[in-house]
Amino acid sequence: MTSANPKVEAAAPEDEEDEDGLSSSATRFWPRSFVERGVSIPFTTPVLAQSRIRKRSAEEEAELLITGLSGAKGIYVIGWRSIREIFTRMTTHDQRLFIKLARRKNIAPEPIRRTSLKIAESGLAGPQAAAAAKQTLMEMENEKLLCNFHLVSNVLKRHSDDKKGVTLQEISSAKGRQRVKDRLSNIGARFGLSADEFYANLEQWSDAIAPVGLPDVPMKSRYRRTRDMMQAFSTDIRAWSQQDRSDSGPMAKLVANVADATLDAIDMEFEVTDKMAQDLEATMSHWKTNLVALQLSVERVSWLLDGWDQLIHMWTDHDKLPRHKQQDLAAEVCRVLPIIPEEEIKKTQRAKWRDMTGDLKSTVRALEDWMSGELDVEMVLRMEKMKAKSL
Amino acid sequence: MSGGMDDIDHMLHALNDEKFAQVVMVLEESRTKAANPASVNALLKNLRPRLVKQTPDRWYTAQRLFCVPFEELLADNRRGEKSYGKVPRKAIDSVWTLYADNADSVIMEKLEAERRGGPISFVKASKIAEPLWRDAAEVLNAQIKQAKSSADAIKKMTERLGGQDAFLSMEDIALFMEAAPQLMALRNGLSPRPIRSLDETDAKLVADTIAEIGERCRTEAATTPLMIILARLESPTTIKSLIGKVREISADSEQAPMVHKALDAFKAQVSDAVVGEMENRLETLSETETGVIPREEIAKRIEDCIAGLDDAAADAKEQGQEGQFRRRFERMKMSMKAVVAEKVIDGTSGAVGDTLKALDAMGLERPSTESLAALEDHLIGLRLARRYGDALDLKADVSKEVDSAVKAMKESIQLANNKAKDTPKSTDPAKRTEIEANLMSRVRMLELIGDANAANEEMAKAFDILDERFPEPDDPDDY
Repeated sequence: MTSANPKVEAAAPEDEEDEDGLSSSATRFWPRSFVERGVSIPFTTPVLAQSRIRKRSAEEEAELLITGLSGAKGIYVIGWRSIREIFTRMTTHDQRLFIKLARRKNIAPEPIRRTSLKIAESGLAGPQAAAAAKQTLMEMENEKLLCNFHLVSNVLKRHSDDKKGVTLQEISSAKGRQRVKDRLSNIGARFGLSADEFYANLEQWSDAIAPVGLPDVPMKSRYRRTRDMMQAFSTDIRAWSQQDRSDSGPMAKLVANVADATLDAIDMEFEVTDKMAQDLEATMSHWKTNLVALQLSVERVSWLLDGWDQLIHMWTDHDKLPRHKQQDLAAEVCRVLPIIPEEEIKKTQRAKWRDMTGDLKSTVRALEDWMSGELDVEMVLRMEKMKAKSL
Repeated sequence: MSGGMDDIDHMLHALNDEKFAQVVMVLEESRTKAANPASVNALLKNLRPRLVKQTPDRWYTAQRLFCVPFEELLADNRRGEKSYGKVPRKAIDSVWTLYADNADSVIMEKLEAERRGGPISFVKASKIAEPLWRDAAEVLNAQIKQAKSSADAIKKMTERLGGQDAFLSMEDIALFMEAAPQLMALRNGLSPRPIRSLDETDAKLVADTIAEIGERCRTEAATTPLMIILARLESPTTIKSLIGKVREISADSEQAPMVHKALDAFKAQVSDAVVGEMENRLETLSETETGVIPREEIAKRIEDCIAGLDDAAADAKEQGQEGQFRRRFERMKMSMKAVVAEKVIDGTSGAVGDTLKALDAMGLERPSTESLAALEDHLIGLRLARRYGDALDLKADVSKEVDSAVKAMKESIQLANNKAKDTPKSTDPAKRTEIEANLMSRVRMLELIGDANAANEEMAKAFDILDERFPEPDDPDDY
């Protein structure tokens, strides 16, 4: 395929590093860090779907990363300002997202997700995506309060004399909160903390772990729900890979392997946060250090999950498609697979990941016909439907 | 269909899979007892596309079980000529009655007892109907043989069945009954529709099925698997290349001569079969009530039909058969034009006007998801129809509808922008979100109808107003 744009055509799909260890026109297939891998962006313009944004520092211009652009197998890097010159036909949703992201200093999964949700809420990606975004933003607003409620209730059930929890109503009002603090004072005293200090610590704790939440609560947290979907997805696509005899079969198997290895890494982080919730004494005894550890764990989970929800929803309902379309879909899922960066993997696991990324690099299919001019409205609508499901 | 039936139809399509299956069961059960079975049948007819996709457990009648092996080949056949490989729906009753009058009563009683137990799955239906299919093959073949014994006998039989097409259909049905077990195995093993191409597994399955039917049944029955493939193809004209694939995969097998003979026999009729398949799809679309299938879906199916028609016309030209098919092609084109005019284009600017009026009357609140989703279907349908307006001589109609809708949209955007400008300044994020959603839903309409430049311009203008009147607070996440 030829490209009309020299900015893209000139980029060789090999690993070309500059002095910072990041490449200028193409980047490593196996990134070293999460920052180098970038954050997935839920664009609705088909060619930009599942692309990533990264920033070397808060002051520098952001970059867009697209796997397989220009018919090659590498990951292309495009300066943020050049995006509109190269992709002249972007949906209004994506143009708005493009502007909003260009202004961002902090590039991490949670804030990018929030920005994207707010734009979807305006209706630019269709009414279904708007309704889904509104609902999710509301849930995100409430998740800290809900997590705080569960945490405080668990602490009281386990450590208070009467072993009774609290109600959500109690913790939502100032009066109720005061009563809760009074009941917490005896427990706080065991760690040399006043009731206010202890309650403030519990608030910091729930703020830090809100998206991960606590285990064994009636309504699973946002990250745990995505994790469970990922597990089901992995089982499903592995079963599919065993039945498919085309080139897409091994690709689907690779997707399942990467998903399973990522799930292991996520579960290790859940163990960290869950263990602290089980052992109040140990957690409170080194609270400041533990709070940082909790924040780091939750942030790591956000990076590990980044991109998977969209990918899982791409695969949902694949069984309603004819076989050739399922095969194309498996190849597309493989193309945009989020790989855990090298530095984030324990040394004992690196050989396994090196093999997986090697396999991925050799099997991934390039994007084709990405510069056909007019936006394909049917493709855009498909992207929007997927987006509405994954929000 | 009356407004009441329309409403019921929409409600049924909105049900989830489980509820839909329950309602179908009740409808099928009530069909035998209903005072007006025609209205129940009309509802079930409109549900047919979803029934094909979803295959819920169903309440099979004996007649329906009889039809299962060839149900994918049923055609409405309004134009009145039977196409190769198709079974006109109107022929079924008389063929079934002929069989039922001569059927083995023990088999029929056993079947009745089994099917009366309640709704059953497609797989179970296939199993309990096997003795019926065997019996039907014997009965129908005997009747055909007897009818062909003299000119008088054939005349009587044709009259009894209701015409020449019904007699030809009986001959086809007898073949389907003979090959029923193999056809059912093929139907269960093949990719669901729409099939774009046969992979190695599918091609081998087809070749093996042809060979098995060729060994066990009359030679003529060996072409029946190809008729089923044709019905499942995304584009019927690709059947020729698929025949080549089946030929190739069976080339080194012992059964190659038998398989190749069947492929050649089918190939001799392929143009008629392909055109018949396309006519059938178009008839189904024409007869579906407006609003039952989304406009977007109709617009896409018509686009496929146009591509198929072009391919078929090229094939006919290549084989010097233009004259033979010209009238059928012209009729198809007219039919496509009518479908697009009536079920895709008509009413769009009115729907846009109504939605905009409702939006304008609301002030600057967020419009409802349902009203916007319904409008989107109109706009997308119209946008898709524009791609082939020329081919169907509908360019002017599409342009008129688009222009009228765009004009109304631009006026409404102007009105909303002015309202936003006149609204007191506010830093309340919730207010900004509501007004932004109102303005952007209008921008989205412009984008969907295909006026990307206007949508971009209006979006920029709207955000200028929003940022000036309702500035967003600093993002706490952005440090």
